[in-house]
Amino acid sequence: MKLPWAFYLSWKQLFPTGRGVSFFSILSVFGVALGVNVMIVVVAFMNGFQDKFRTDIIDSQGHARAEMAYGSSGDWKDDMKKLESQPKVQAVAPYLNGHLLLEHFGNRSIPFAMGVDPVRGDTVIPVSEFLAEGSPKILAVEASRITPLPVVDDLQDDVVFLSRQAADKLGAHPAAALLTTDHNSSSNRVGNGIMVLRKLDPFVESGTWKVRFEDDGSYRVTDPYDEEWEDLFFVSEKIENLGEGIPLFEITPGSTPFAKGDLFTIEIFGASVIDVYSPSMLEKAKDDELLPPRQVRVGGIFEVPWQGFHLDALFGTLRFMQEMNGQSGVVHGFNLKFVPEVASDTQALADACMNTRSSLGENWSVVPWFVENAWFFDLLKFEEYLMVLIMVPIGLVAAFAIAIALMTSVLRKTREIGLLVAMGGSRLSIGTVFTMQGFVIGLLGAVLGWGMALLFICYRDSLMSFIVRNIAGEEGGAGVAQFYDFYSLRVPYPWDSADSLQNFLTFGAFAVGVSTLAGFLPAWKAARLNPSEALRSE
Amino acid sequence: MSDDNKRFALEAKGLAKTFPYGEERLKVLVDADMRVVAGRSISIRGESGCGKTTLLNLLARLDFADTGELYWNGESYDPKLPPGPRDAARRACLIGVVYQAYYLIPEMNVLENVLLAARLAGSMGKDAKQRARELLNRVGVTNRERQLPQKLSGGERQRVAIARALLNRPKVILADEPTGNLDERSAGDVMELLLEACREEDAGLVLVTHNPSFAKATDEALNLVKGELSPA
Ligand SMILES: Nc1ncnc2c1ncn2[C@@H]1O[C@H](COP(=O)(O)OP(=O)(O)OP(=O)(O)O)[C@@H](O)[C@H]1O
Ligand SMILES: [Mg+2]
Repeated sequence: MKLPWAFYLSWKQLFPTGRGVSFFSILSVFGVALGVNVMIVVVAFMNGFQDKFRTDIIDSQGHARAEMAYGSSGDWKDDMKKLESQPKVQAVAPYLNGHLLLEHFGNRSIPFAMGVDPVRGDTVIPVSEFLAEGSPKILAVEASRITPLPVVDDLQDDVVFLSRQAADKLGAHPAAALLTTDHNSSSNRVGNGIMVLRKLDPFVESGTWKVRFEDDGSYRVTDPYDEEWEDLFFVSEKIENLGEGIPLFEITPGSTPFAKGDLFTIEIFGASVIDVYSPSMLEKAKDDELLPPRQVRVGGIFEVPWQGFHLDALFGTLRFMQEMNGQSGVVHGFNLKFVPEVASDTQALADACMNTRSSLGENWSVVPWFVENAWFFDLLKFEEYLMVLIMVPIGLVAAFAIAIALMTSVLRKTREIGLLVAMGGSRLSIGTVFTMQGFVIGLLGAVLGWGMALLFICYRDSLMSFIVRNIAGEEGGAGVAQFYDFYSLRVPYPWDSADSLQNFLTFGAFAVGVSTLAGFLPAWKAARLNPSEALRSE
Repeated sequence: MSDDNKRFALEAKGLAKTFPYGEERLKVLVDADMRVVAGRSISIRGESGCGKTTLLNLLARLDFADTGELYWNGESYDPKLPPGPRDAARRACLIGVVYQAYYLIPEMNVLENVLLAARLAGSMGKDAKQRARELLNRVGVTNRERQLPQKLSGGERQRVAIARALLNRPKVILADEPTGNLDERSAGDVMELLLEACREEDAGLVLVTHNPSFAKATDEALNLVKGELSPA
């Protein structure tokens, strides 16, 4: 070991022989570690929130919105082709928005209505994901087991999807099914043959459907309209679409075979039918032309994760919206999705929007998502900076504690320092003894802080629910967690993302730098001690 | 350098030192001469506050003098300059110090304390470890090398400090009242050991003491009176 003696001595003072580690070292290292941990975690979570909101916003409106200043003059399909031919554009979805008045058994709602092109499905806006978010919650457990999720294909000109809030207000629901009899899994059979509905479209009527087995492999279905047993179906058979309004049953045999007489009874509740009024009807009413409301069926319930999204909202087909607005062949604009390389980089996205606009023409505007929602992200950024601003002084407090402890140690060890000089120690080495202590504390604190931050990120959900439960109570906890969507936060590890790595390194370096500086002051004092006086001190 | 110089492990000529004392200056050393020969011992006695510690500090280049000349092992040092890095580096190899309070580092065990001298001199290695063990045996602190200083008695601590001072085979040991904190019996033992060990190790010894019988045991006894050294 040819370590310079100053390194050796500073190490020994932090980790004395026999005692392993000094009390001062433990406290200082922990102090630094806590500071590093908190700073990393706060920034990581702020980034997680931003990331989450970014995804939610992009999901609800695409990467950019292209609109014509005075409405499209020509055919919107031509505009769409032009947009689709743009090199960086991945998908284009036309939209036509407006407000509609809905009525269902005297309940009213005026949702923000969005006309989308069902053929394009969810190439830009993931409507099916929204449906998945919204639907399971309305149904009982038994029902959700067999009722299929609504799909975008269910969206037709006489079908709309409602946001959860709008549906609740109206008391409206999409078609649902409830399994009321299941012989195969009854108490004396204990089988696990499964029956699910492959398709339950909005046009299915309410009523009881029955599936009765002839033997272990074939069954007959009876519909609510005529109580006759229909054709024979086979379990092994691939089910076919029998047309609108007819549910499709799919049977999976379990461990206990089906037997003659086994029966499934399914209660089906048809989709709510709601009345729709539009502002254009009002125009016509002025001309004494009274139109009956348009009747549409509820095809599904959706929920959009983005809190800034309209709470009362409706998705309909583009044509439905055009008809309701009395504007056939017109769209308001297009939601755009760009290729991933462009989408992941704000500058590239801004450039792509500019390019798209200039190739479309002067009267077009192409607005990227972060411009449209700038206020929100500015707010988040501001909050993040504010947090860091508050935390940096806390980190400095830890540094002061280290400096004071080391300073005390210098005072306590004055005679020892004198002796070290008398034994041939240079001022530089004496200074190094104390600077090194600050450095080592910073380094160990940073490493420990990294470890704590990793643990925190790893166990964030259980930690968060623990904290929230203890602060807000069971119910309050559920509310808080739901509001922040905390549990679906993506908080990347440093080996997964450059941003996260930078976050870890920045605060690690900050800790090492600050505690080295904290060691520097006492070190300076120690190095400047006059040895003859130091030896004399009591 | 002349042969004359080389004959002495340490030589000082005409050292003078004053300290600021209000408006005036307190004359502590006026004209102190000293010649230390390897393997031989010198004792210095004097009233309290007469400047004995000050003299040792000047000899060790821990402080600067007003006038005078200083040679360590024949190498010339200007005692009027404030001590610098070169002084520190050579001091580690040439001078050993023993103080009244033992000044062992509390965070390190006995062996590590002795070896610290080698680390400071940059001569840490297997040989140093071997020598440290031999010296600890020599000073009579056997089988305690892994203990922390706080577990040792005063006499034992001072023995460890002597072993530490001798580790780098210094030319001179400067001892400032090394037995001042010890009871009579262990003081006698430690003093005997110090004198013997310096003789064996061929190191010159400058011993500051109040005890006349210890002074007698040295090869040369000096008195410091009014800033000058004179034979007792
Ligand atoms: N840094 C200083 N500034 C001012 N006066 C000092 C300083 N150091 C020592 N002195 C004075 O110099 C004189 C000699 O001090 P020194 O410590 O050398 O005496 P000493 O002979 O070792 O005494 P003792 O036997 O009590 O240890 C004393 O009067 C002391 O007050
Ligand atoms: Mg003294």
